[in-house]
Amino acid sequence: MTDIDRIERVSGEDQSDDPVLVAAIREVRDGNTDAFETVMARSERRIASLAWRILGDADEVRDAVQETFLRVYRFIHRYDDSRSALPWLFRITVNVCRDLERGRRKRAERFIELEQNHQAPPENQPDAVAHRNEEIELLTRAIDELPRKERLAIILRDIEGLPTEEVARILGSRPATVRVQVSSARSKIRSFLSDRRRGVES
Amino acid sequence: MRCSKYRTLIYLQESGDATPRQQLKLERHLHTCDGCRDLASSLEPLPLHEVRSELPLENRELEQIRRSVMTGISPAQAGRGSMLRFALITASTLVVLTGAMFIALHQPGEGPGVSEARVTDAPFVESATVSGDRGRRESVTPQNPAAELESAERTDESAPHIQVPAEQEKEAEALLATGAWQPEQEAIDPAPELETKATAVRIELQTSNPNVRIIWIASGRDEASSEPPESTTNT
Repeated sequence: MTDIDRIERVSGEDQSDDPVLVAAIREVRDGNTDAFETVMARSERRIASLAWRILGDADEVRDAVQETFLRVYRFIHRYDDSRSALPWLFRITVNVCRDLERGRRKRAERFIELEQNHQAPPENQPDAVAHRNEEIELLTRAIDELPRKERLAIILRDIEGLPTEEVARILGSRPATVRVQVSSARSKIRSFLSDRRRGVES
Repeated sequence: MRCSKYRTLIYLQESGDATPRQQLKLERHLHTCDGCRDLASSLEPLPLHEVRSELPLENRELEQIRRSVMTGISPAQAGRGSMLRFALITASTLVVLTGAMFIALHQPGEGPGVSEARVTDAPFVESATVSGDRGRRESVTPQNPAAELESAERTDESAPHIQVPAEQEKEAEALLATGAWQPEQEAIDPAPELETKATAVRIELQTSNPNVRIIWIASGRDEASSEPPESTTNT
């Protein structure tokens, strides 16, 4: 039985710090290449989600996830045991997305696409569910409209739930800067939502 | 305490770094100050965690990515890569070495050790050495002056200072004119046990020291030759 199996049995699936992921990374670092499959399985959804929030293009997300894992494997010896694994993976993801984003500006296209594809919720949907979906879509669009730096900061801080210091480390900036960016992003999102609601009411 | 200090506390609270005492102070202040209350409410986290559930990739796509990554990092793949690298390095090394040997063989030696060496392919052992301005020519076939003459005529123009002694030249011309010697019949009489034409090569290396000359005589293709290669150093 490997370390991963032992931890998985003890800890179960839902772990905020995910010791299974950390153990799998350690095993890969010690030469067990097969354990990398566990690393991917434990983190792929979070990485894909982050890449999706940043890039907004499904094809690019696919490339980003693949490239992220290849980089993770290449630099796995640099992983610091004393830190959480997920922020380290996010840092690599953000860098990969930055590389992919360079020279490509598809967000505007996607936004237009969303606008065109926007449909009213089906009538048979319960009101609460319909309202919730509408809120999520509004939030998504509000985030998409943010400037790039603020968008990254709010995604990592509020969506991924990382502490400000960790976000600052990932983005290579100071915590104070991240605080300002997050605060600005929040107020912009709030005003976007209130504008939309006001528009719907009127 | 001024509002600027309370704003610092607001940021501390937002990042979770405020102590309980600071939080209590801030709460009291927010009851009385509209500006700070607005700031604090603008910093409240948004319910964005639900946005994370959105994912553009299906499970089978994620599996596909996993498979392709595992293929990319498998040791067999890495081995194939290193084999390719090894083959490329070997091939490039061979090309470089061949080029270096070609240049070394086709360039006149101007190094301090050897001035020049030339090998001729006369019917018999024949060689000529040119060394700087001390041109000289040696023949080990004194029985055949015509061959010497022919060889001298074939000598490269880059060695103008090679001269055949006038007496030998005249003697050879006379022999040719009278028909006493016919070049076509001047084949070397090989030793009975030889199957191939004897082609001996004599190489002379003139070193930078004018008094030192290295002479090397090789038997060429004549594997059956009974004479061993000779190596001489004249001082």
